[in-house]
Amino acid sequence: MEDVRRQELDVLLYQVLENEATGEQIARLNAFLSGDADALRYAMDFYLVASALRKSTVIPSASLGTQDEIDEQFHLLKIFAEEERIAPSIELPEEEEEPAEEPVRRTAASRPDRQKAALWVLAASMAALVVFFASVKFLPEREPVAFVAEAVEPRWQNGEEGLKIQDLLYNTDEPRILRSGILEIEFYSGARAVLEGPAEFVCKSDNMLSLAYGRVYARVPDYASGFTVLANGMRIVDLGTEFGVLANVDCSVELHVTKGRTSLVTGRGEQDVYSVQAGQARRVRDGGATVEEIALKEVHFAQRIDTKTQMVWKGQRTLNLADMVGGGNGLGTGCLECGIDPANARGMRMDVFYYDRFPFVDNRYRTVEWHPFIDGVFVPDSSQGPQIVSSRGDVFEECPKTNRHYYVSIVNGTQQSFGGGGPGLVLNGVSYGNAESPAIFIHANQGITFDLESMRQALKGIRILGFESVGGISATAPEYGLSDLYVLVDGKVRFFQRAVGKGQFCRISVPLDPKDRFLTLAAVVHPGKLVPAGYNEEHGDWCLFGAPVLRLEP
Amino acid sequence: MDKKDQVKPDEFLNLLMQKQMRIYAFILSVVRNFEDADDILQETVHTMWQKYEDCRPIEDFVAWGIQVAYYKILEYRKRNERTVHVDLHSGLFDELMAASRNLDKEGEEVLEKLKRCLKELSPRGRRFIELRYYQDLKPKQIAVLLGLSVLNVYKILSRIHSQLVQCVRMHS
Repeated sequence: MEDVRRQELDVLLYQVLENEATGEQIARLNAFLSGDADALRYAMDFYLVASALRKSTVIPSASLGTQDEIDEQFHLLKIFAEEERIAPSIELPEEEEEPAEEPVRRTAASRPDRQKAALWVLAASMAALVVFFASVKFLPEREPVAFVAEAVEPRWQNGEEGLKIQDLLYNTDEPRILRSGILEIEFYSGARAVLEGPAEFVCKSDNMLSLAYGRVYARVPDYASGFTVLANGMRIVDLGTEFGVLANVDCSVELHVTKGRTSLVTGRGEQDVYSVQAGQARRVRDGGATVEEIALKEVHFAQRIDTKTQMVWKGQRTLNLADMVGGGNGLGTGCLECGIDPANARGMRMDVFYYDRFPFVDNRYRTVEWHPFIDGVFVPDSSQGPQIVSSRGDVFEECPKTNRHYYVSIVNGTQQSFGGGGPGLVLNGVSYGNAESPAIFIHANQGITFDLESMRQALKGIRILGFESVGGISATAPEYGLSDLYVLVDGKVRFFQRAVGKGQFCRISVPLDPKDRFLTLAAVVHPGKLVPAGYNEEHGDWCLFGAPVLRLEP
Repeated sequence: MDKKDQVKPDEFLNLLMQKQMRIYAFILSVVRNFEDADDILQETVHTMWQKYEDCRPIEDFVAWGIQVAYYKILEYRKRNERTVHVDLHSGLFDELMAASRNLDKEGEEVLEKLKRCLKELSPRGRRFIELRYYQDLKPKQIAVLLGLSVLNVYKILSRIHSQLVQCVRMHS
């Protein structure tokens, strides 16, 4: 058969198959098949394939009805049949009695007419079952459809050991109950779903997740478009997006779309399909009867998690570097008044012990092994040779000579009583170093380097756009402060503010490129600074980086 | 009725599950659209179940099913004359009946080949098949879902069906 004829035949066969053909097209198809044995043979193959797709188990990942559900139907049928067979005695109505026989009590199974009636009931149930099969169609073949990619403190129902990283999930699995914690599943289609406990779920296919209740955030690449979340009878079909679904135990469902667009299907009709786009959210109640617009919750779903660092990113637009200095992951898990001592790279907690310390150390770069996002710390001084500012060996060429004395350590904020009664750190009238206005307290002659690449890995590809902060010397500092502030990227100076005095501040904004690896913040005593006799050179250099954040892509 | 003569529902259902695709293929080749084929299959299965007890043992379940389906198609045609697309008195119908004799044997082979062919489809093609047959969405619904025109969905699905048919033939 020629290609052109076959193409026309293909279109006609399919149009007719879907009952969408015109009378003319039907006549054309009949004419095609009447006069051409090849075309007829092709059509028979076409119908065989269409029948197999519609009435067999041939779609490997299909699993609308699990084997257990089918087994349950058989089980019910068997029970029904058995009940008919051993049904208890019933009193038959008088008019049904045969005159020749004496009135008796008979069992339903013992009379042919009763048997027939029972059979009819059974046949009716069979018919219902046939309808059930006609609607289910696909029995699943057990196949792996996804695996566990990441996990943060998952706890499972009844204290079960549950799933571990790299464990496979099958389309025929029983629903799993995640009591708490977070799990990221990667489907074989390429879609990823982050589930937050408590949640009950099952991966129905390599592109479909069924959620009885709980919270899930899906990220779907273009090539996996069509990824579907089933939740309380609703279907959310992805069209190349990121979206969150909240399935409540009261059977309501919330859909929050952060990127791209989705289709929300609440029923079987065309009018039951809603397009929900980026920035929009919907709540569905009453089994799909009520669909209402609600405000998008932007920081509501765990969107990226990282097993190694236990990072849980919920869509925050910034990472807080002060929080990292306090031992946290930049999202508020660190402790205030905690920090890192550049003399030994160990963690410290600020207390009065530190108030009278003015350590003197060499300029070695000391790596911070215990924090995934902090590469290392140092006391800057170029008089002893090049100042290394990263574990890779990047050199801070412009580093001045210093006396290698510093004060306290590098700290997430400071005690509000610090400095003889407080109020801690102040710049431009803002009190810094607290939960509302975080700050890195970095008295002069200290430096710290952050590992941007480790953060990118933990954020699973979220771009870091730049560093922003306010720098200066606290207005609450003693007199004579005069420092230089540096921001370096891979050892190169990207920002420099010379000779900052008490209460003076500057705004810092450093764009970052995906190739940038190490971000260094340093404060040094301004070369040539004069102090009265009896004072240390670094006296009063209470430098800080206020609200120091990495800006993330929206 | 003796216990040994009692109708065994799971026996019938097992046979039906295994063979219904072949019976459906016959119905579809005559009526040519899913909507009518579904209705006729339902009626056919209902009658088959009613007659199963009397007809046992059945040597060729598919042939018997096709025979029942044939009469159901005739009945259906009387009720819905315009919906059956093949002239039941034409030579074409005889050819279809002749071709359907091989359905049982061919059906098994086709399933195996089709499994392989589905895996050879592009991810996009497979998604369309899943949406149409797994999620049982009609082309109009798929069009709304994916933001495509209905005509486009018909063209895409028609092309995918063609790929599958040709793939199955190639593996023969």
